[in-house]
Amino acid sequence: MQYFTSFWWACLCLWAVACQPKSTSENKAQTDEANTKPTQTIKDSSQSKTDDAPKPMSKVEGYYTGVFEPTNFDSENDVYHANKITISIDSLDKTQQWLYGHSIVAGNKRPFKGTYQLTDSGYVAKVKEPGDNRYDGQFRFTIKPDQQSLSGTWEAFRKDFSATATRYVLKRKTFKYEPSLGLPPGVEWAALYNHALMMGHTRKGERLSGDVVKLNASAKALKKEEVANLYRGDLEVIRNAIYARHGYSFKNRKMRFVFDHIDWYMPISIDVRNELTDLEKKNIDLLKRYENHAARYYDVFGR
Amino acid sequence: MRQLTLILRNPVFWVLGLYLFFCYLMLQITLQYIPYDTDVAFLRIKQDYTGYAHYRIAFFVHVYTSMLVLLAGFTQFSARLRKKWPTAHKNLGRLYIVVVLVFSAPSGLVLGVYANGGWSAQVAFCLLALMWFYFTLRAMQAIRQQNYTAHQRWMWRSFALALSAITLRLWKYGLVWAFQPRPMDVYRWVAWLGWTLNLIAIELYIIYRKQS
Repeated sequence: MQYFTSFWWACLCLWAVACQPKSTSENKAQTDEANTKPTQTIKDSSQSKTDDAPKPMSKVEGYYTGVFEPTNFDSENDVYHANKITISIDSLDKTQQWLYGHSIVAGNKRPFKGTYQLTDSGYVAKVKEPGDNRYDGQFRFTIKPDQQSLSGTWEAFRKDFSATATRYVLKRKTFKYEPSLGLPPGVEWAALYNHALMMGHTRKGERLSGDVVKLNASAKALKKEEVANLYRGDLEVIRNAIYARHGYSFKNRKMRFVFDHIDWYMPISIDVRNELTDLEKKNIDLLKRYENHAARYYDVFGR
Repeated sequence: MRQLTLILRNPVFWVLGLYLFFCYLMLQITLQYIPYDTDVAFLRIKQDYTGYAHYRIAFFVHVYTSMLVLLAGFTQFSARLRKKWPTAHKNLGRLYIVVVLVFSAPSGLVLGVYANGGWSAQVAFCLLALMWFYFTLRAMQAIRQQNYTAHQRWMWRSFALALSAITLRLWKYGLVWAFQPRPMDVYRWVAWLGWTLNLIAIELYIIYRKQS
């Protein structure tokens, strides 16, 4: 009997740990699934065609992608991160010297317009976002067509959030959906992702492992057996890599930590649902089943 | 106050309390499948098999009936209750035997054939179901022959395997807590750990009882 009771005591201790509340689970709900809920709609009708690919003949129009780096930053309260941004120059009105475009960063797509001047150093522009979004602001940049670059600064209209000023040096890039693109080896050590993990932004079992680079869910149909033994963190990144290949800009910060550092990744859209191939949709369904299962059951009493 | 201390000192109180707590957790797991739905909880990752009628029948029979085994079985081992209410012991025993032999063990065998985790886990769960059936059957035969000692031993073994429903999940919880292994690796481990150690423990206890 002595032996028996001590066994149950051990079980009770295990359970005390089991019953601790999971504070981070709510976090998850708000950061995940960004792709299914586009929160922005562009109201300005003159900008409604911004989704069209820019004309390839132009010297200036096109996508410029790179790092949007905060220059003032509340380092006490936030994890440092520089998001990847795409600035799209959609059209120039040469008679009025107006410039139209939009920016895409962190799942936020905003139109802008303003004036420009052609100088010796390039096209010097000062453009504004509409101002009806909390994170709207003003860009000042110079486009150098011969160097295929766009560089400058941005300043938010409002100052009530972290990182209200940034700088950037962006490279001109064309976007092409390429299903064979994989994650680079070593992505599992994405420094900021692990940092976020330590800060409690992620749950146990969400760590990335070397498996994350092994499966490409855009290129081949995944089998149950291939995904059943993967950690939730890996499954999530394998699934989100599908969206990344289509140029999806992640609201989910954890995903930005991973994909922003990948060379081929350029955020160009905030809703890629219509772009997904049938193969990808199937794989997404399979991956989500195992992700949800892991999220719900991996570390609880059950199966 | 003295009364309360006595209760708290009694290991039976703690074992019973703990057992009821785990029964409650098992009930929670069972309730996930009410109302009937073939695309919830565990079945979300068994979609390859939920199309088979025999799999569905086995799964829901197992889920809906197995709670009864845990509830009917536990009080049967108290000598005092047996003496006080012999009819209750008989009736609960009949319930236990019928549920195991007709519902829980056969359905468990079907589920074992389709178990997650590959051949190792499949073998483990099938063996569990077969042994559970066998032990329960022997216990039934023994009581029909009025062989009380044999009946008690076979029932101990049978119930040790029935408890694997709880110990398997506890092992899973403990392993994930301590080592965070891959999901299917955990599953392969607990498929064996869940019942083999119970069986070893009860065999040791039987040997110990024989000697003393």
